[in-house]
Amino acid sequence: MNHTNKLLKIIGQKKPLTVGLTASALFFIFYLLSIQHISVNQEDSFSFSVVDDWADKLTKIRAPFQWEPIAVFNIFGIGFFISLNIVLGFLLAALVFFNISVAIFSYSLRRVCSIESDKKSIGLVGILPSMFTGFACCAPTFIIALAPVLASFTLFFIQIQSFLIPASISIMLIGLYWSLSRITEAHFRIVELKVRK
Amino acid sequence: MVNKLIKAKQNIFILIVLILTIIFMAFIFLNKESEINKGSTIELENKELDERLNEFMKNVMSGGPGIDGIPPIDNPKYLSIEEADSFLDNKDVVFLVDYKGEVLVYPQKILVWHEVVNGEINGEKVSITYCPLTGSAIGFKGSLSSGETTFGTSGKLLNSNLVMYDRKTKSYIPQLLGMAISGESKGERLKEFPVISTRWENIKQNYDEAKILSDNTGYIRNYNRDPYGSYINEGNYYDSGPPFFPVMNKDSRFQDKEVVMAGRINETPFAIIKSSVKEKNKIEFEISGTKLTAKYDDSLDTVRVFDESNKLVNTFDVMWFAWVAFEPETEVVQ
Repeated sequence: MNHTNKLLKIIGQKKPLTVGLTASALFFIFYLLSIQHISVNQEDSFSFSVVDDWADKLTKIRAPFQWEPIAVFNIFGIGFFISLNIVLGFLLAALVFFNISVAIFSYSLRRVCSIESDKKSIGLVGILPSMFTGFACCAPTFIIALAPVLASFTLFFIQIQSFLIPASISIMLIGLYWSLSRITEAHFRIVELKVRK
Repeated sequence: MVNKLIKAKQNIFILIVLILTIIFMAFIFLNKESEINKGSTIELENKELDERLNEFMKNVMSGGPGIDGIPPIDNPKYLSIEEADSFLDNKDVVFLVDYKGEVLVYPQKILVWHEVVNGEINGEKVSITYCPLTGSAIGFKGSLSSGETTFGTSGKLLNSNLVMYDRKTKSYIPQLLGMAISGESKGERLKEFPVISTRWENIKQNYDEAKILSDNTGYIRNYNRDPYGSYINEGNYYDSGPPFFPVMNKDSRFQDKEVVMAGRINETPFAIIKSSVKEKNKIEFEISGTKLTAKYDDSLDTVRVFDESNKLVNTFDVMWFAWVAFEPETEVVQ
């Protein structure tokens, strides 16, 4: 059974699917908040606006892996910014979904199978770096939020900031592959038996 | 055979991850490439100044965003007082420019997201600049010996202060220094004009004909939210805590965020403790042989400095830590 089939089979199950979708939706919201693409202080109760030169601004880079918003959708005081970061957010959220689903599946087998608990969720570590990529004007968003506690770490975070998204994607991809490699066809049969019981 | 197939698949997967990583690295590298393309730096005849500027250049550091990642406003639109009143609160900080017969007002809540507004006043190219990390708003004329220019944001910081760049020669210009520290314009000082930091309610009371920078900037930002805190509520970046970035010089005579009115007379830097002038209403002092008077202006809640002939001397609000980081030998008036 190849990895794609394993993955499809795992996300076809109710619990991994539900938990995976919930976790990825939460991640997507937190990611957008961290890059300030969700704004809770917009005035219009319902509006949608696009900048005039949206085609030029669409690919304009503000900071590593941060693009210029080209539209805003306001609903009941909450503004949702639209930029290429939405695409990146979807990609990251998809990886979170797959990693969480596989982790839940592996977790359900922990008592009857040989999957070692300390190695099954490596990919989940990859979620963290992507949450620290937001920038507000001149400083990382989370530094501003947590200052002065983290003020002395500002330079360090700016130096590694360019590598956070690649690190996040690489860790989640490798983690997913690693987790799937450890799942065999026998594991699926055990789950099927458990369901029948 | 099966093992070989599994191994081949593993290799293909690792190859894909590697390719992805290379693409990302290339993306990062291209970003860096645009940062370092800032023109050739000249060597100044004045060796002392050359060394000082080179030292500044060594201490320039990334603030995170890339070139114009904090986008300057290049086509500013203006509103009437009545129109602007719909998005400004009485206590909102605004920057007043009363220059060449025009009264223009720049809300801090807009400038915090853009830092530079390039425009014209009566046909003259000017730029209004604001650095939220040092609380300084300074007006610069848009001309250098190389000709007329506009300014962009380099994404770099020096002593926590905005490092602008001249779009014509790509020279780096720290806002508080007002002098190019690299490129063809190195050593050249920009001409300043007064920008007064005050509150929106003071503008409404004193300037009926003022034109206010519109929040229709061509960019999507939440202008109702200041990422650094608030000038209305206390206990945030603007009034307490340390700076986020390292500085070249420190001086603990005052708190880091103490607001001073800073300026230069014949290249001699001075700082007036704003709260002292407010308390005493007027302070007379001497800098570099020039007699000066700092007067508190109640109508705008600001301090203005005049020379002996009652001519206005340009000063600007700035946080103490930032001014002393650039000018450790500054004279202090309190």
